Amino acid sequence: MSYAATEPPPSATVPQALTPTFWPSSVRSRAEPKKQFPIIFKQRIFSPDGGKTTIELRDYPVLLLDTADFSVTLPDWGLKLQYGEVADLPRQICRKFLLYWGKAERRALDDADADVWLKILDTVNFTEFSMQRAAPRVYEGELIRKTPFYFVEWSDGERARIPDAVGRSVALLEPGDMFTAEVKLGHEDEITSVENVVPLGERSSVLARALDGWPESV
Amino acid sequence: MKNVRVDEAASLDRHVYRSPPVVERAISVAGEIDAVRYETRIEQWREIVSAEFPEYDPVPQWTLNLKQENGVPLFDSSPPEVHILHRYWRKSRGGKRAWCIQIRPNLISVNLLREPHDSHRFEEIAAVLAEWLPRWQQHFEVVPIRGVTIEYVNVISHETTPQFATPRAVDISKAFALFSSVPIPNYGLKPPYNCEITLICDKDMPCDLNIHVAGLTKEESKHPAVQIRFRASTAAASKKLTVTSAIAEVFFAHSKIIDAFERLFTSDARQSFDAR
Repeated sequence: MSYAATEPPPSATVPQALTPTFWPSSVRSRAEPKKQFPIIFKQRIFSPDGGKTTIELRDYPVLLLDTADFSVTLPDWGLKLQYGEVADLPRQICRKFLLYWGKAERRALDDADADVWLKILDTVNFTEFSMQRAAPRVYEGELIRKTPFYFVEWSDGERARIPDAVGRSVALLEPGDMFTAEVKLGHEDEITSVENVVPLGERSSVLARALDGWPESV
Repeated sequence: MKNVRVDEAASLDRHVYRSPPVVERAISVAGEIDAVRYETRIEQWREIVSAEFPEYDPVPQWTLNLKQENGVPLFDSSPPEVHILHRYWRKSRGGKRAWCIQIRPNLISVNLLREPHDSHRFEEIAAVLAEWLPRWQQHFEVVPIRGVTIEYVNVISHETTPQFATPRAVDISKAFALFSSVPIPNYGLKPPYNCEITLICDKDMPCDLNIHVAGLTKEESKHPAVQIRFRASTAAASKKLTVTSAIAEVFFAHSKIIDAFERLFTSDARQSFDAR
């Protein structure tokens, strides 16, 4: 296997011997050739934004190559390209998906769009996309400990471990500090990002401020 | 498996020619990447390399599956496949594409093409690889690295070595030792040339050296020209290399190519590479 960009020269020799080569040099067929051939596009995960979110198809997309005009189509998606433009397919898939997703969010799909969108949804892991695209929510909590891993207690009493990969932003806190942060959750409520951390101070002082002026007894 | 130390391999002493016939150098490193991780992160990789390799040039690679039944070639029932080979180019000061990083699902390649007034040196491409290999390994979490391949594409032609060119051919026997001592009485060589051999250079590493000599057609070169490829590879399925040991193997493989270059080009040819 050559990895050089310079193409190797084709073989200059044409065999003259009668001993057949592995493949005959040409083939004739009486049968009418099919006009459309399926082709597997060997990529099923696409990203419209440099990897921040992904459009994950359940299987490799199957294109149809039309020998009449050498176009390729992705049938359920309503995409059609010239075969020479097939390297642009990832961008076109992202574009089409976001266009219809945006329309669906705005409730702007007409009947034809809705038909295509339903077919697209059949092929895509939409749950994963929705979680990645979801806006972060503001959480309030207390950092319980930093070692051997970040562990927090949210204001609703839930306790959670913050993975090291996304825990850098809470490193400025000390155990016992309360804070607010914009948090995104993934599968099974796993924390996938923690951003815009605002320290509120130690629990006792925060509670003292919050309860200041609260009547001591009713 | 034999381990190579970087300093040991890098200490290779060699003659540097003023104008070697090298038209391209390519170094590739193979490793294992989880398929989902590769597809998920390939777009991020584009952002990482775009600062230094801004021209993105995806190339579709088609695979047709054929089978043979009773001597008749037929399309296999499994559909053909198309992969995208990701290429990222950097132009030279002269505005030509000279540098390229290629990414495949299990491979990174750095390519360096010759320019009209700069045939470049191995150290340049080795430095670029040393910068990008760790980034590739970290970004795609490549574990393990399976080995390296270096490829040198040389062209003997009217442009590079006119003293070996005749109006209708290249007298390759004067330039290339493999063709200078054909043990059959003859009056010279004429196109086409097409000869390929693979030598086992090192059993322990392992390291193979492939040499391919082929004539270029009129479509590829105005004048008669012969392409000579040297490809040294240390790749093996059982290998588990680190980035450091992979770079050491790059230098080791390069030493095999230099050795082949010095032994296989005739002294007349090597002198001509210094003269221009």
